[in-house]
Amino acid sequence: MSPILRLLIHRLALSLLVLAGVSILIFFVARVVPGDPARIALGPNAGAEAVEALREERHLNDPLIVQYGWFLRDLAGGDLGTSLYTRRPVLQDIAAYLPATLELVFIAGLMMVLVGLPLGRLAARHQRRGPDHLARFLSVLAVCTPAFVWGVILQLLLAYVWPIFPLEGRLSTGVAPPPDITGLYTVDALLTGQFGTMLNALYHLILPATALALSGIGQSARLTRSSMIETYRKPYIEMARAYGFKEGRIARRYAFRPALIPTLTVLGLDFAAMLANAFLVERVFVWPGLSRYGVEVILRKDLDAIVGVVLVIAAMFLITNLVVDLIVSIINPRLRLAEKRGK
Amino acid sequence: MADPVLTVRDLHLAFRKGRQRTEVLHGISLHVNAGEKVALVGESGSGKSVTAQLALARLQQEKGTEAEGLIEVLGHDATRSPARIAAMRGHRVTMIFQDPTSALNPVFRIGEIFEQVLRAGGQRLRAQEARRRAEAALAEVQIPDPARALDSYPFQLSGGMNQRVMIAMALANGPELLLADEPGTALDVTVQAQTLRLMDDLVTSRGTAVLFISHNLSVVREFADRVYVIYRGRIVEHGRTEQLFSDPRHPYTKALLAAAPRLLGGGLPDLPQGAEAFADPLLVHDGCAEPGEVTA
Ligand SMILES: Nc1ncnc2c1ncn2[C@@H]1O[C@H](COP(=O)(O)OP(=O)(O)OP(=O)(O)O)[C@@H](O)[C@H]1O
Ligand SMILES: [Mg+2]
Repeated sequence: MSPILRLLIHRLALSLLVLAGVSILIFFVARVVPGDPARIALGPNAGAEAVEALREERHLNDPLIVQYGWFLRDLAGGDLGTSLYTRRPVLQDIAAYLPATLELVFIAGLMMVLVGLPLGRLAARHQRRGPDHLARFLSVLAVCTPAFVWGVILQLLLAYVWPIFPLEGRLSTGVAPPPDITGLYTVDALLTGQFGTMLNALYHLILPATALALSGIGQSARLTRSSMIETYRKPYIEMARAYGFKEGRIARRYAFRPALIPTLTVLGLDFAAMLANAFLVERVFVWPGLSRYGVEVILRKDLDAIVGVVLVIAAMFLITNLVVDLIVSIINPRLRLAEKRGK
Repeated sequence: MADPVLTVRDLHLAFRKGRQRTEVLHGISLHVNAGEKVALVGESGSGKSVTAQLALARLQQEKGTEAEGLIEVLGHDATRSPARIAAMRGHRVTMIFQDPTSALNPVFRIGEIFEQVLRAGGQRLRAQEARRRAEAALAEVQIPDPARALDSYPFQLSGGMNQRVMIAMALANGPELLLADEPGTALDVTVQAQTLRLMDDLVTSRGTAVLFISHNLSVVREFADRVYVIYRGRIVEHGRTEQLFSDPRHPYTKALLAAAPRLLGGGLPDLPQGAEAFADPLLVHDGCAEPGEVTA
C-alpha cells in the first residue's frame, strides 16, 4: 500500500473519531444549558399542553443517554433531526446555507494563498529593504485587525464613500440565482454558461472575501517570509548560488518548495479558522450563509440544528487538515518515501 | 609558467556590524595556476571560507562587508565586475562543500538538481540531453546505477554517494577552477578519503585547478602541489608541499607539524592561542613568489 494511501486512511479514521467526540460533547453541552427548547420554539403564548406535547415528540423528557441513543439511530439513517426554528430537516437547512459560506471561504482561501505567499516570498528575497518593510507593515496591520472590522472598513470605503463594489448580498437585485447544482453561485453560473451571473456573483464576493482573507494573507505572508529566510541560510541554497542558479528561480522554486512545508500546516489551520470568522463577516455583508442560521439556532436553543451546524464545521476543519496533510506529503518526499528509507 | 586562474593580492576583508568592525583578512596574497592544486590550511576561523566566497563574488555585495585588494578569477576582477564572476559560477568556477547531503536540496531529485547545474551560465539544454550527460557524469564518479541515483532524493543516498554526486556536478561542466572547502569533512574518515582520492584522480586527469581548503595536514600533503598556511587572516608560510613539510620555517607551521603526528586523522592540533611568534611575518620558500613579485 502506498504511504500516501496509508496516511489518508489513518487520518480519515482519526477524523471520524474526532467527529464522534465532538458530537457527544456538543450533544450533551447543548442539552444541559438552561432553557426549554420547546417553550422557545412555541413562544410565550403557547399552552402548557402544546409545549409538553412537543417535548414528548422530541423525546426531551427522556434521560440524556436515551436521547443520545435516539440521535445515533437517526444519524445512522443519515438524519440530523429537524430544526424547531425552520421546521425543516437540519440537513436540508445546512445544504441551503452552507454553500454561500463555502464560496466565501474558498475565495478568501484563494486570496490568502495567491497574495500571501508571493508577498512573503518577496519580503524574504528583499530582506530588510524597502519591499520587506512594506510587506511586514501591511502584514502586521492585516493580522491585528479582526475580519469583521475589515469588513466594516472596506464596506465604508469601497461600497459607500466610493461605491465601487456592492454593499451587501450575493447578487444584485434583478439578477436571478443560477440553477442549483453545487450551491456555489460562481460555479453553478459557470457550469450553465451564465457568464453575466458569474461575474456578478464574483463582484459581490470580492469585499467580504477580502475582509475575511486579510488576516490570513498577513499571517501567510509572515510565515512564508520567516520560513524562506530560514531556508535561505541552508547549505543547499549556498550550493545553488555557487552553481549560478538564477536568484528568481531560487525564490520561486528551489527555496520556496522546502519553505512551504512548515508553512502549509499552519495555513491549513488559518483556512479552517476562516469558517469561524466568516460568521461575523457574513453579518456585516448580510451574506445568507451558515452564520445567520447558526446564530439563530443557538439563540433559540434549537438542539438538533446546533449539533448539526457544529458537526458540519468540525467536519470542514478535519477535511481541510486532511487536504493539507496530503499536499504536504506530496511536497515532502521524506514523508512520501518514508517506507523505502528503512529498506 | 601557466597563467593564474585565481590571483589574490593584498586582500583585506572586514565585517561591520553596527559600530563594531572586525577585520578577518589582513592583506593576504595567493594564486592558483591553471591545472594546479593549491591548499589553504589553517585553523577554524582563520579566514579560509571567506576567501573562497570572495573568489565566487558571493560576499562583496553583502551589507556590512568591506573588501579591499585584488581578486582576479579567470581574468575577471571579482570586486569590480561581480556579474562576470556570477556568470561563471557553476561551469567555469565550481565548488564542493563540507557536507554533501545538506548541500543538496532535500525536496528535489538529484536529477532535477543536476539538470539545473548543467544549465549553469545560461546554457541551453534539452531535458533528454541533460539526463544523458548527468548519467555519464555519475558513471564517471563510479556510481553503480546512475539512472537510479538521478531518480533518488539526497536523503535516500549515503553521504559518500552524495559526495560523488557533488563531485560529478562540480566537474560536469568542465570548470577551470574548483574551490573545495573542506570537502567531505562531515563524512566518516574512510569515505572522506575515498571520495578525495576520486576527486584527486579526476581533477588531475582533466587538469582542473583546485583551491583546496583544509584542516587536514596529511590530506594536504597527499593532495596539494603547493600550500599556503593561514593564521588569523594572514598567510604565514607558502611553499611547495615537499618544501613545506620537510622544512617548515614559520613558528606556527613548525608548531603545527610538530604536534600533528600525535593526532589521529590529521586534523589541526590545538596550539597555544596567540603565541607571540605566530605573528611573525610571512615566510616564502624558494621559487614560490606571487606572480609579478621578485623572489627575495
Ligand atoms: N558573513 C559573515 N559575517 C560576519 N562574520 C563572518 C561572516 N563570515 C565569516 N565571518 C567571520 O570571519 C572569520 C573567518 O571565517 P571563515 O568562515 O573564513 O573561517 P574558516 O577558516 O573557514 O574556518 P572553518 O575552518 O571553521 O570553516 C570568522 O571569525 C567568522 O566568524
Ligand atoms: Mg570554513
